[in-house]
Amino acid sequence: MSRFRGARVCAWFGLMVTLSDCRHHVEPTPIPSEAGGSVERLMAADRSLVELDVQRARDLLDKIPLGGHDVDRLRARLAVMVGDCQGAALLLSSHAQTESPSAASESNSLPLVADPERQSYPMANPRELQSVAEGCARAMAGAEVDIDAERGVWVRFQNAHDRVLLPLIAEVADRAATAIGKDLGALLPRPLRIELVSDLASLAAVTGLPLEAAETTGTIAIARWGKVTLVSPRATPEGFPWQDTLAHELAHLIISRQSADAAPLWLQEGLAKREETRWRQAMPLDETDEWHREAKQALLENRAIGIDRLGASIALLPTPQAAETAYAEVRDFLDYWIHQNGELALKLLLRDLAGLGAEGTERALVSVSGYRLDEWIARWQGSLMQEEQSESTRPSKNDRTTELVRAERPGWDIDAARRLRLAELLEGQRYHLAMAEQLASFSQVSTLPSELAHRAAFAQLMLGQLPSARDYVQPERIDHLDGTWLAIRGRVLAAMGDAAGAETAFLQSLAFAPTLEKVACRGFSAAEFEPPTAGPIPPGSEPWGSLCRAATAP
Amino acid sequence: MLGGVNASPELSDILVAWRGRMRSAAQRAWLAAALGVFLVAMLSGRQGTAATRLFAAGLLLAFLGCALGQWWWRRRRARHPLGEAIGIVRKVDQPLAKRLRRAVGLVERTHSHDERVSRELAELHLQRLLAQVPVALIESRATTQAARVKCVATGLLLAGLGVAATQGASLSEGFDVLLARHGMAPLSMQLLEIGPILVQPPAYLQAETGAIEFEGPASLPQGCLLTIHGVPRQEDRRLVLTDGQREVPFVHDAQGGVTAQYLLQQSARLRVAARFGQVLIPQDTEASIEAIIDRPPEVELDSAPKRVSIAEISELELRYHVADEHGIRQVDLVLRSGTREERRSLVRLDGKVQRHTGAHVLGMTDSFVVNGFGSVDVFVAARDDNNLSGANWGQSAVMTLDQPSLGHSQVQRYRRFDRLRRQLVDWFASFTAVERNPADLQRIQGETRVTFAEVAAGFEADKGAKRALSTFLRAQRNKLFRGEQPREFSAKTLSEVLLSVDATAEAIARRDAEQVARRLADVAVEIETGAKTALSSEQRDEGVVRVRTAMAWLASGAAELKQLGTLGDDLGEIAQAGWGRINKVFVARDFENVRRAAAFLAERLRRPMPSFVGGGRAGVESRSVGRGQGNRPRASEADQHLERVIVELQQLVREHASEVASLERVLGDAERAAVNEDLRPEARRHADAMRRLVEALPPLGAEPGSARATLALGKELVQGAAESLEQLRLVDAHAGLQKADAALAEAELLLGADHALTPAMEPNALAELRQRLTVHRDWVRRMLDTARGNSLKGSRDQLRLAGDRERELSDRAGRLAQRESKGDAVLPEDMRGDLEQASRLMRRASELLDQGRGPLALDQQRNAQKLLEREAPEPDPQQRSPASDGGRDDSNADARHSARGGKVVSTSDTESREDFRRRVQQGLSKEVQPDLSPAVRRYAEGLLK
Repeated sequence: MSRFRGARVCAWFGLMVTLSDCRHHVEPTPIPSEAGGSVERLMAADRSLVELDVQRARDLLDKIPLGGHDVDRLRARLAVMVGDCQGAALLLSSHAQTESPSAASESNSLPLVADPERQSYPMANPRELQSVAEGCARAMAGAEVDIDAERGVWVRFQNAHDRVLLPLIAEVADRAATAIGKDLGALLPRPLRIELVSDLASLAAVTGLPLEAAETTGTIAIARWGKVTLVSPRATPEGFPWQDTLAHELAHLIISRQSADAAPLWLQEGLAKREETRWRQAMPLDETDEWHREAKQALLENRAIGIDRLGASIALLPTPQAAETAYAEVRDFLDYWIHQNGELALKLLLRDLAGLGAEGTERALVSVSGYRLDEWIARWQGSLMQEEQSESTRPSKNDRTTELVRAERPGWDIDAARRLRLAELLEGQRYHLAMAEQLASFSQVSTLPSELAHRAAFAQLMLGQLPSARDYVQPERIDHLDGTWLAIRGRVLAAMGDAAGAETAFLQSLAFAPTLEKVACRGFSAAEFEPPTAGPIPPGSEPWGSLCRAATAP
Repeated sequence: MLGGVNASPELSDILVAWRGRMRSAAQRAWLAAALGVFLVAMLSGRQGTAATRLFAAGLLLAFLGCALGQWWWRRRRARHPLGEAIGIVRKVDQPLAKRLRRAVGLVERTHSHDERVSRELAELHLQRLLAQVPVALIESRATTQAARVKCVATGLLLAGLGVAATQGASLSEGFDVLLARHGMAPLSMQLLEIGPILVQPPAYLQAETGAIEFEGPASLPQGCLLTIHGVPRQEDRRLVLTDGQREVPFVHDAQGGVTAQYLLQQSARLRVAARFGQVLIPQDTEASIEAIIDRPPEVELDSAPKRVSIAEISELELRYHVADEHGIRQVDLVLRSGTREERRSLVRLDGKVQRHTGAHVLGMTDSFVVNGFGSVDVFVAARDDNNLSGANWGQSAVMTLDQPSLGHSQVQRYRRFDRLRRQLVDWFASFTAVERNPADLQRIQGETRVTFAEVAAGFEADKGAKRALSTFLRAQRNKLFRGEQPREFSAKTLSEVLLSVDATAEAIARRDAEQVARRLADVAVEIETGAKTALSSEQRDEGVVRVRTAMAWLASGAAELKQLGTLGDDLGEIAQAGWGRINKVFVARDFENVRRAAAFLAERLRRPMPSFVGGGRAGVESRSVGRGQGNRPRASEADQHLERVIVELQQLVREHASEVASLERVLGDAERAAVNEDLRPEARRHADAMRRLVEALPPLGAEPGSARATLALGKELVQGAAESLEQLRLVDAHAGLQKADAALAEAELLLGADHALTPAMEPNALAELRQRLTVHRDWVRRMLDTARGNSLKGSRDQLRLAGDRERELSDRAGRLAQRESKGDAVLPEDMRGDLEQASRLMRRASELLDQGRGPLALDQQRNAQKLLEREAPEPDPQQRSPASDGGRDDSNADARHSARGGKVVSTSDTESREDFRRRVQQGLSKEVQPDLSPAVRRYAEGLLK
C-alpha cells in the first residue's frame, strides 16, 4: 500500500486544485474555427452529443457544408435525442438503401477518426440507431408533447391520458436534475427530455432495449439517446416509485455528461442508485440498508454477480433477482469506495474519466484512489467478510431487515391472499364491516404486506375506528411502501388532526401511483363521492383536482 | 357603228361559209369532251376517298364552266361579226386580214370626227376589201378543218362510249359515291344474291343450328352467330355486312360465293354494302333482327332484405331459390363488409338446371363475420352459362348482419359472471355478519340460486363459452344448494365458492381480453392497410373510408376491452391510447404516421401481455422501497384446477378409447384366425336365405326419413351382412344383422304413421321378417362365440396385459373422482358419481380380462367409455383453429369417437348436427357430375328438412 501513497497525495492535491475551479458544469469543447475541417466539426458535434449538448451539436452540424453517411448519422442521432424519430428514420432509411452490409459493419467498428492523438468516439451502431428511430417513430406517432417552459422540461406522452401528470413530472425532473447535478458537478442542459410510454413494449421500441430483456428483469425506465424513457405509473397495477426511477435515470444522464460517457457500468449504476433518493426529503423505510445486506448475503451465498462482471447492462441480466443483487453490489461497493476516498474523490474520478475515456478506468482509479478496480473489489469484499465475522459473534442490530431480505413477501400465505381478495371483493360492494372482520386476524401481525395493511386501515376508517386505522398506517407495520397505503395514511392522519403529516403522506403517495383513485383522491375511493367531480378535493388545489378527476373518469 | 358593213352580204357570206361547215364539228367535239370529263369524274370519284371525290366534282364543275364560257364568248362575238370574219380571213389570207383590220380602224376613226377621210369612203373601202375575201377558199378551209375535228371528236366519242359501255356499273357506282352523304350513298344497288342466314345459337343454349331468310324481321337470342352466304353481282367489290356500327367483311368461300359471320350482341338492322373508300353503297334489302337478351338468374333469399344482430343469433340459415330461363351454372354466397368481399361457391351445376333451391348455414363464428369490420352484407348470387359479356350474375336481396362492437359478447359473459360474483359477495357479507338477518339471508339465497340459473342459461346460449364452465358452475352450485334448497355449509365453503367463481371469472376475462386484443390487432392492421391505400393518390378516398371504418371499430372494441378484468383494462387503455394517436394524425391527414401508429398498435395487441411484466415487480432501475410488490399468492386456484381436471379427464377418455379399440382389434384378429373353413357351405346357405327374405323390401331412393327409406336401409344392411357371411366375416355379419334389425324396428314404428305410402308391407309381415332374421343372427352369434372361445385361448397374454392397463385407468378415474369430492371440487356430484361408476366398470373389465373373457370385458369397457364420454367436457371452442369454424376441425376428431368406427350424429347434439350439415354443404359446393347431382341434391334436401 505504501507504494501508492505518493500517487494518492498527488491525486488529492490535483483534486483540490481542480475542484477549487469547479463550476458545476462541463466545459464545452471549443468550436473549431471556420478554417477547421469538416472532420473536426464532426468530431466536436459527436462529442457534444455525448455530452448531451444538442444545441451546440446542431450548430456544428449546420456548419458542415457537405452531407455524407457520418454526418447524416450524427444528424439522425441528434434527431432521436430531440424526439424527431420520424426524421431520423427517414434520414437513415435513405442511407440503408444505398449502403452495403460491409460498409455498415465497417462503420460500426471503426472510430470516427483514426488519429491516436485525438480523442475519438465510436459512432452509434447505424443499424441499431435506425432500429431505434423506426421503433420510436412507430411507437410515438401521434403522441402528445407538452413542455414546461419554466422548468425546462419536455415530455412526450404516448398515452394522452397521462398528460395530467405533466406538473408532477416536470417538478420532479427539475428538482432531481438540479440536485443531482449539483451533487455530481454537472448540470444537464435544458430542456430535459422525457418520453412517458405506456408499456414495456413501447419502452423497448423507443430505446432499443430487447423486449425480452426488459420483461425478464422488469426494467421500467432507460436513460439513453440523451433522454429518459419511462414507463407510465399507470402500467403497473399498484404503481411504482416513478419519481426515484426518474431521478435514477437523470443521474445516468448527468454521469454520462460528466464523464463523457466513459464511466464503467458499475460506476454508472452504483452512482445512479446512490443519487436516486438523495434529491428529495426522506420517506418511510428509506433508512433500510438492504442493499448492503443483500450484497453481503450474495457474497456469502456465492451468488454475487460481480462488480466487474455486469455485462453490457444490468437490464440484460437473466433474472430480476440477479439484477437486484447487482444493484445491491454496485451500490454497496460505491458506498464503500466513497467512504474510503471521500465525495470529492468521486467527482475527480468522473472528470478524469472524461479525459481518459472508457479505456482509462483503471488509470483514473489508480490516479484518484491509488488502487485498481480488482484491488478495490477485494478490499470491499474483505470488509464484508470481516463484518460478517464480527456480526456472527453478537446479535444483529436489524433483525427485521435481515428477515425482510431473506423472506419472500413476509406475511403472505394462502390464507392472507384469500382474506385480501375477499376484502377487496367486499370493499367493492362497500361491506366494510365484513371486510374488517376478514382482516381482523392480521391486527397482531408485526409486519404486513402493505396491500393488506392499507385495506385493513381503510376498513377501520370507514367504520370510524381511527385508532385501529392508525395502527395499520405505521411505517413499521408494512413490508414496503405503497402509494395507496401512503394515501390512506394521509387520510387517517388528516382525520386525526395531523394536517402536516397528512399532506406529507399525500405528496409521498404521488411518488408511487398518481393514477390510482385512492392516491389521486387523497385516500378516498370513487364509491364515496360522485365522479367526475373531484369529491374530496377542494377546488383550486391542483394537481389534486385534475388527478382525481382523471383517476375516476369512466 | 359598222351597221352598214355588218349587214353587208359579203360579210354574211364569209361567216356562213365558215360557220356552216364548222358547226357540226364543234358540236361533236363538245360532246366528246363532255363524255370524257364525265368518265374521268365518275371513275375517279368511285375511289371514295375525299381527294378523289373532290377531284371528280372539280372536274365536272370545270367542264361546266368551260361550256358556259364558250357560250358567253360566242354570244359576245355574234354582236361583232366583222371581227369574227377578220379572224376567219386570217386563217386563209393574212395580208388581207391585216388590210381589213386597217380598214376597220379607218372606219372607226371616221366615227371619232377625223375629218381627213369621209365616213362613207372608209366604209366603202371596207366593203371592197370584204368583197376581195376568197369565200371559196374559206369554205374549203372550213370543210377541211371540220372534217379533222369531226374525226378526232368522233374517235374520242367512240372511245368514251366504249368505256361507258364496259364500265357502266362502275360509272353508276362512281355517280352514287359522288352523291354520298355521311359516308352512305343515296342510291342502293343490288350487290349480292343473298341466301338464307345460318343461325348458330350460343353455347349456353345448347340448341341446334338453324336458318332464317335474310329479308324480313326475326328474333334471335343474344350471342347467336349469323353466317350469311351470297354470290356477288360484281367482282372485286369490297362487300361488307353492316349494322350501322360494325362492319364484317365478306370473304370468299372457295365455292364462288362470299360469306360473312356476325355475332348478334344486340338488336340490329343488317345490310349488305359495298365499301368504296369512305363511302358505303348499300344493298336495297336489309335484315331486321331483334336480339333476345339473356337475363341473369333470378335469386330469392328467404326473408331478405333483413337486418339481423349477430349478438342475437349463433348462425344464420339462408334458404335460396334460383331460376334461370336457360340453366344455372353456379351459385355463390357473397359476404361483403366495407370494401372487402368474399365469394364462396355454394353449388356448381351443369348449366342445364333451370331451377335450384338450396340452403346454407352461416355460423356467426365464421372467420369473415368475426373479422368483419362493421356490418356484413350477406346475399346469394347465381350465374348462368352465358359468358358472352362476362359472367351473367344475378343476386338476391341482402341480409345485413349488424355487428355489435368487438368484444361485446365477451363483456356480456364477464358481466354475467360478475353478477354471480356480486351475488355471492352479498351472501358472504350477510352470512358472516355478526347479526344475521334470516330474512335477508333467505332473500339473498334465492337471488343467488336464480343468478346461478341465469348464468348457466347464458352459457348455454353463448357458443363462445366453454362447456367446462357450465360443469364448473354446476359444481359450485351443488356446494351451496341441494336441488332448490340451500345446504348446510360453513362460511369457509361459501368463501371457497366465491373465490373459485372470482378466480374463474378473472381467468375467463383474461383469456377473453387476450382474444379481443388479438382481434383488435387485426383492426389495427386494417387501419394500417387503409393508410397505405390512402398514401396512393389514386385510391385515397377508398383508403380514408377504410381507415375511418376500422377506427370506429377500434374505438368501440377498445371500450369493450377495458371492461374485461384487469388485463382487459390494461390492454383497453393501450388500445384507446393507440386510437387517440391514430386519430390525431388521421385528422391531420398524415397517413404515413397513421400507418406507423396502427402498425405499432397491431404489434402490441397481437402480443396481449400486461403493460408491465418482470418477475412480478417493477423497476430494477428504481429504488425498491422495502420488499414486496408482486409475488402475491393467488387466493384461489379454481381456474387452474378446472383446467387441470378437464385435461386429465380428456386424457383419460382418449386413453380408454384407445384401450377399447385395442381390445376390439385383439378380439377381431383372434376371431378371424379361428373361423373354421368348414363353416363356409352352411354360411352360404344362410346368406342366400337372408337375401331371399329381404327381396320384397323396397330399393334405396325413397324420401329420407320415411318408412320406405328405412326399409330400404334394412334391406341394404341385410344384403351387406349376407355378403360378409359368405366371406366368413362373422363379426361384420353379426353387426350388420344387428343394425338391420334396428332399422327394421324403426321402420315398424314409422309404418304406423305412413302406411299409406307402403301398402305392400304390413307391420305384421315386418315383425315376422325380423323374427326370421333373428334366427340367422343367432346362428351367426353361436358360430362367433365358438370361434371366440377357440381364439381366446391363444390371446390370454394379450388380454392380461390389457387388463393391467384397464386397471390402471380405473385407478386414475377413481383417484380423480376422490379428489373431486373435496371442498375445492370443480366437478359436480353427478359427474363425480358417473366417474366412480366408470371406474368400477373399468375394474370389472380388468377382472374379466384377467379371466380371459374378452367379449364380456369389452362390453364393460364400452359402458365405461360411454360414461366417460358423457362427462368429459368439450374442449374450449375458443381454442379451436379458425378452420374449425368451417367444420374442418379434423384434428379434434378425437379418439373417443374413433373407437367405434365413426361418429353417429346425435339428433340432440345441435352443434354436431350443424357441423355435419355444414360439411355436407361444403361437399355440395364442389363440382359434381351431372348424373350424380339429382341424387345428391335429394339427399341434401332430405338432410336439411
